[in-house]
Amino acid sequence: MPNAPTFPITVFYDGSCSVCSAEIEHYRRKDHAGRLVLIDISSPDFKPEMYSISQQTFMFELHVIDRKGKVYKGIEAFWAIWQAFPAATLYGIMGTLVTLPVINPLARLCYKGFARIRRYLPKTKADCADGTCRIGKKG
Amino acid sequence: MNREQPDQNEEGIEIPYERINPDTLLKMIEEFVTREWADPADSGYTLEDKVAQVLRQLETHTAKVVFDATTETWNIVASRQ
Repeated sequence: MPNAPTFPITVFYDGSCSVCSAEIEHYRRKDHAGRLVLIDISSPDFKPEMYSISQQTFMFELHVIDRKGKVYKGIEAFWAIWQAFPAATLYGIMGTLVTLPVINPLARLCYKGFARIRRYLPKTKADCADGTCRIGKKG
Repeated sequence: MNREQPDQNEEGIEIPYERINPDTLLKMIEEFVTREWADPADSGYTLEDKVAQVLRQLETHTAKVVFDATTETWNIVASRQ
């Protein structure tokens, strides 16, 4: 795994994916220190060209960009998010776990599998009536 | 087995304690001793004593950190000798 990210980190998630949204909402609720900036890449307002990364690439897997511009993708992106919660021992140990030999390639493989089937997962509906699905949005 | 030692053997993925962030490891051990050693009979030991004891057991490999991926929980358990 790379060096620890510099906070705050920007998390690019697909708000139209119900599983992805639920996961990110979980982190948003825990982020009392304001270490996460959440951007819904399914929003019409999202401009991928601002980050020199294509929409297709953003959509393929979870992306995180830290304050210094370092990009983390897939399992590394989750690892970077977990670093935002230094007091949470579970995230600490999961962060260690995914760096272990054997476990790391397995975790990458599992995530790639998830990334491939993600498009077939249920879409969010209730919070997307106007076409945007931002985390934390109510009604 | 000394009652100050982790007294369970548990299945799970073993996490080498050396690879855990030192701050995280300290919090884990503090959580562990608070959870497992709340017995008033242990009042002769301070939290720091208990943390040092568990750390020593990890260092001497008489205890290990395990992670259960099913329940997403971790524990510190005695190593099988």
